[in-house]
Amino acid sequence: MRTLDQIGKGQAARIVDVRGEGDNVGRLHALGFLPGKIVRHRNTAPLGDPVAYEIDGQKISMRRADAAQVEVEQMRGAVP
Amino acid sequence: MPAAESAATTTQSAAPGGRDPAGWPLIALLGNPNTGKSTIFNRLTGLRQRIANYPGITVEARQGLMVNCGRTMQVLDLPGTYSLSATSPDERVVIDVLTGHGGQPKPDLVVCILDATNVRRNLFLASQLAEFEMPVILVLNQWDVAVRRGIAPDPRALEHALGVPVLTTVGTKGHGLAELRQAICDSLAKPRRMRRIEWQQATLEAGETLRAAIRDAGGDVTLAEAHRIIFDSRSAIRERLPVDKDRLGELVQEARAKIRRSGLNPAAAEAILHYAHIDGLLADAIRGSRAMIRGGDESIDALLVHRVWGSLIFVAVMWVVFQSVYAWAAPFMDLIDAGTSWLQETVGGALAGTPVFASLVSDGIIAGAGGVVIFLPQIFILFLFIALLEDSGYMSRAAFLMDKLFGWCGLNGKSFVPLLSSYACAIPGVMAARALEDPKARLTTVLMAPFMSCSARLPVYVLLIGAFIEPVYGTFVAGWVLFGMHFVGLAVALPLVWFLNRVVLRTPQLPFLLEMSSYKIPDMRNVVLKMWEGGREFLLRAGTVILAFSVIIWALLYFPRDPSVATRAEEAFVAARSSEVGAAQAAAELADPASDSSVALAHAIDGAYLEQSFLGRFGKFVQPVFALAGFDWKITVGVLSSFPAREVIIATLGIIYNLGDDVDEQSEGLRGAMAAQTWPDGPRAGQPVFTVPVVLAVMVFFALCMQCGATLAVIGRQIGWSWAVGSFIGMSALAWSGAVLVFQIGSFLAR
Repeated sequence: MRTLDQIGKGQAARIVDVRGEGDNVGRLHALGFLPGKIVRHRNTAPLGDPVAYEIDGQKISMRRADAAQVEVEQMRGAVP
Repeated sequence: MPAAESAATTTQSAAPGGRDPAGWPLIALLGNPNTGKSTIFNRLTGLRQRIANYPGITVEARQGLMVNCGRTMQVLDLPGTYSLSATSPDERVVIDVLTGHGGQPKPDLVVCILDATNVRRNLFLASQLAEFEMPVILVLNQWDVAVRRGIAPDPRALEHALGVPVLTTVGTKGHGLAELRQAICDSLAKPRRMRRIEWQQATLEAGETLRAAIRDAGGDVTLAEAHRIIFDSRSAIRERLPVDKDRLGELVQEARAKIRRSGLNPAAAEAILHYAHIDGLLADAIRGSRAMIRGGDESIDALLVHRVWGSLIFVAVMWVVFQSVYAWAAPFMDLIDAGTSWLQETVGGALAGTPVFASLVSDGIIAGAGGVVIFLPQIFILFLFIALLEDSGYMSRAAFLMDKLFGWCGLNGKSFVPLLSSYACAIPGVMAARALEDPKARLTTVLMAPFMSCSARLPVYVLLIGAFIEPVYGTFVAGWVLFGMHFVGLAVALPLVWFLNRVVLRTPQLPFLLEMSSYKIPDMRNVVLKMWEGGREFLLRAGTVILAFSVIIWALLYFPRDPSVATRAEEAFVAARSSEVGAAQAAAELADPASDSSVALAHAIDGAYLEQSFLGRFGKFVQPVFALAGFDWKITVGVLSSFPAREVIIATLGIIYNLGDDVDEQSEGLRGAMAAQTWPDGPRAGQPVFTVPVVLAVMVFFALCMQCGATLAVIGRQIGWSWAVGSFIGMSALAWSGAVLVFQIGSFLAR
């Protein structure tokens, strides 16, 4: 299973699960990182971390360590 | 407006949010960050506002008054939050206020501000709020932008679906504010509650079961609170219950197991169900309002967070900010300085009949007040830039760019601006650290700020390097030493911060989630209000403490002031002068109060008084401790007297070396006097006091010591007095150790 941090720039993925319990997950959920959602890697900071993702028409940046909590399946071809 | 002013005074004295006897209704403003909530708050309350501090935590919610439909109302601007899970201090305040535990009754009405360009996500918080069954008004702010981009929801359909008034506003232009005021009056008269989520059976039962169990154990929670306890492992509500922690843990585990058995992951259940509720209920209202990133924002980001161009622009922006705080403030600071001196002379002259009182007023009170006011230009300018950067949307990009550099030691990208501005002055830097949501990162940023080499250290470096390094090693080396001194504090602070975060404060780090919102033109009203607020907070909260420090140090330097000290100093001076030019000539010189000799005599008397003052005696007493760093008693007294404000050392040294207090770091007289100092006795008798190791030791001491009452006061207000005192003691110990180390190693190498 891939995780969100492994998705390259410009690529999109569908969220399968947000792992872990507790506060960190709750924060991601509140911002809309939920199973079934489509996420796209938009920008990478100059030093490689953090990464800015587009989800639900908003841009949220997070560290790669936090993105590794998000299980995704990579999407190929046209993304809605 | 006398009525409004007296009303404002009343709240000043009330506890944060405490209901006053007048029974003014309490209106709470709730919303996500970046919704324009504060702009609406400013529009509703004008300048009748202040920051309500919540004791023990570093959260500040603004509180203000408005007069609406003939009544005075209190308005509380809660910290921006994405959800009601009470994990950060900001969210804790929100949940405390909503449940009536914030040291005040529950709000009579919650105005929930939503970003009209991203309604779906903003409704998540509103949907959580609905569970608390309070009267609610929903406000769709930034309505003009949503309409222009064709993503505006249908407010009538929302109103119909949710059962509460839904208004549209453009906070920056004041559109819709009159309607909002009217709706607040209407809602207070006839409260309407928002339609809440209908939990599926298992979640509902889990909540009810937990509620019953807590009631059996002697507690009392609402169903909404019970659900918060189930969903948030560290909810603030949980800590308040009189139920045994382990027992409560078991109950929560049972409740979560029940939800899990129904096929839902309890960690995700709340968000999934709320979003499903929002999507289902509001399908009609938000059909056309799918949020999307503007193409324009994407193009700007392509440049501003670009590996090369983004980094260059970032450096340029920060250079402008730093230069402005450093250079633009200088003329204003000089002006305040000149004004203070003028006032000191004028008042000191007018009170010349009573020397003690004259000195107290001019050297204690006016100097202390001047020492407070002088920081205002830097605070205003820094807050101007912070407001511009935040309101425009650039601040989140700056944090994005910088995060990697700071993450390893427990800070995050948002620490950069406070720390950079601390290079000009730690005070606005400490105040700016409020912007950090993560409590741990906020704490460590504040503790780190006084280590940054502020501009008040510069005169000390310039004096010592100019007098002792440059003549021996040349301009090139002197420049590098000056440059290097600016990194001593940083180099010492970073490992300490790492240690503090990774070893001492072992609470888990919150994920660094950063919303990179749309770029906007800053709202000038907001910008000006932020500057004003920064300045006023500093004066009110820190000013009094600084003034007190200043008067105490004045007293220690002034008393006991035995007149025989002056008599002896004068006798010694006359004797010395007489032996040089003859008794008659000396007497003639001293008869003219404007002669060089008379001035020198006055300086000698001042020096003698300083030596005999409490602080002077204390300095001599503790000098053996500082002798390990190579300090003589004069340096020791200079160092001690500059604890309230480090720049004071120049004037103190001027007095000690009998040159008067009117010297600066460029004074040839002061440099000469220091170079001429020799040890009067002891193992080094006859050798110069200021050798290179001593000079470096003094500079390292200044680099590491928090010799600034103003910073101490601001830190105390910001993160609590125990932290402030702890960091003061810690930094003093570090400064001493650093100075001793440098002197000992330097002396060993020079041998």
